[in-house]
Amino acid sequence: MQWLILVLYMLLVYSQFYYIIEVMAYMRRWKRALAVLPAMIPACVLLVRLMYFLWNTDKTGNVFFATGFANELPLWSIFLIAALCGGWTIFLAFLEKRCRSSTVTRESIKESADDLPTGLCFSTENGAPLLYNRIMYDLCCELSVGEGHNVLAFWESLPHGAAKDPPDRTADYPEVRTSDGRIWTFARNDITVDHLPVIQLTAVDTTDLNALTEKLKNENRALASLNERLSRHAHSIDELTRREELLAAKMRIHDDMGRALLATRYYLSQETPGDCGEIVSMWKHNIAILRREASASPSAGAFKQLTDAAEAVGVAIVLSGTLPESDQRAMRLVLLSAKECLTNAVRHAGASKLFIDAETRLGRVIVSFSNDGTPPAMEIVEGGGLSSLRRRVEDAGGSMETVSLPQFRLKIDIPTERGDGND
Amino acid sequence: MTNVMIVEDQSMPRQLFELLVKSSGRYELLFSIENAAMAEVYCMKHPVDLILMDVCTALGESGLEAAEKIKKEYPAIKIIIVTSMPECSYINRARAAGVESFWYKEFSEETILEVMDRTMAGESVYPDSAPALSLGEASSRDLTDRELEVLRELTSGDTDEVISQRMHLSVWTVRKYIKSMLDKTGFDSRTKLAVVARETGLVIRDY
Repeated sequence: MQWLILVLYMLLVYSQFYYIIEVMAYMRRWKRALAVLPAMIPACVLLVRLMYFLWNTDKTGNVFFATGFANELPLWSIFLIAALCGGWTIFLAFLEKRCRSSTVTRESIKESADDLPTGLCFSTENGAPLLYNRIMYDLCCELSVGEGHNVLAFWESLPHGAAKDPPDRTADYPEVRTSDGRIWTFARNDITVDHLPVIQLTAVDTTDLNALTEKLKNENRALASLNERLSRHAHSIDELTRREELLAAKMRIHDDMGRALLATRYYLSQETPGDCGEIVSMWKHNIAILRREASASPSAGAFKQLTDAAEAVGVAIVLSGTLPESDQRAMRLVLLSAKECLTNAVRHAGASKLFIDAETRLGRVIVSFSNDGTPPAMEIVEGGGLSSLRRRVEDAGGSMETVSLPQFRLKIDIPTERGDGND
Repeated sequence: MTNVMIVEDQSMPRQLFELLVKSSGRYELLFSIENAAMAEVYCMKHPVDLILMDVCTALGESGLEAAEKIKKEYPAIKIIIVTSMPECSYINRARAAGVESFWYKEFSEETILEVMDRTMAGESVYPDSAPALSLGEASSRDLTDRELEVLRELTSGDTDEVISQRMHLSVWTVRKYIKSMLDKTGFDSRTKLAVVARETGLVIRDY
């Protein structure tokens, strides 16, 4: 019986102290004291009784109860106190649980931060960490070079750390590939908490986004190539349409020739041929067309078009330098500028010569126009023609300057089609 | 005699026009040139009465733009736009520029001499509409004016963003028009739509 009581005592003492340790770990602040103090009383009583029990065991092995304060209390009262302590603890645990579910505490913030799918940390302005969540802590451990975690040093080391390949990171949002192949995009935000500067660092897993962006880039490249082909196709269609037009004209001539041959054959087959005037007229018409076709010269060329027009209005073109005749886009702008200067020279200056100075260098064509006519009486205000020309020159990536006095001069500076600077 | 200037960049059609004018007995050929931008220069010092003006001329110069300038400077000169391009907007642009007459090289039933005579008699001779062209499962007339404008820009090969900026529309509006055209024509891609539209000559951006 005594041994049974001994074992019971030992179990009670063990359970009370175990309870105290658990309470210390689980409860917080004042609740810890409220929970521990009542538990300490029965624990101490039980401990004292156990000591007495052990010390008063005689050498013969007979067990008896020593006298003293602890032994004065009946055993049932000790059990009662232990039960009350347990009940009190259960009550406090219930309060704690309810409190935890409805109150934001340091621990709950940490727990929540750990559950985030992104990395998060806060630090002082010197980089001393205030809070790390689990993901950011792991990232810091993997990516930091030295010992210890200084958030500021970690942030500054990111653009030079384990870079994504190819490295297209920016200083604002560095992207880093970790050993597991995932790509993390970091961002820093300087905030103020309770009037104190705090650095907030976030890391977002952008692996999927990165793959999608890469896919989108590839698709855009393919689309740009397709659009370029479409643009080229549009230009080749113009040529095709011209050829079709030419073919239609040739077919008309072929039909006219066929009609003339039939009419001639019919005329010759008659026993008493009549008037052949109409047939002769048809042949004259066809022969005239064929002669023109045989002697048809290719396109006059852009500069010839200009000199012909100038000659028609009594102006001679004096060219110095070489015009970019092989570059249709540049030549078109040169010709438009020349035409504008030519009309102004004839209308307002009564000029007989139009001077064109052309120079091609470093992938650009620079052309100046002036005339030998009467200088303008005042500063020329750009009207419809000149302003329209300026717009077209600027749309082509060029620039235009006009000088009114002492002599009107117009200068355009336009890129060549290749613009490779080897001209 | 009526003094005529021909503006046509293709050698054979130009020669045919020249022959027609010379053999007509009532028209005098004053000039025959390739570049529409230069036409205005000739009009400054010569008594041109009538211009036969092609739309697509040398160096990519637009006959419609040249006609508009000439009509502003010399409203007495009569102009006939001659083209083989069935571009749907050319007729309206010619009317807006104040051009007297419009003649399709391939589609018009009247001869050019008849149109010239009627024009010089004070008439304005225009076809009722641009030729209807087949565009996938639809006819070109099934498309609205706005859709045709977007289609014209689509042939540039530019992105929706660039097109929307040029047309002063939102990107979503441009995409809505493109989708509507794809639904009507049955094409499965915008590229096919643009290629066919350009190949048929329904929309041409450059002139």
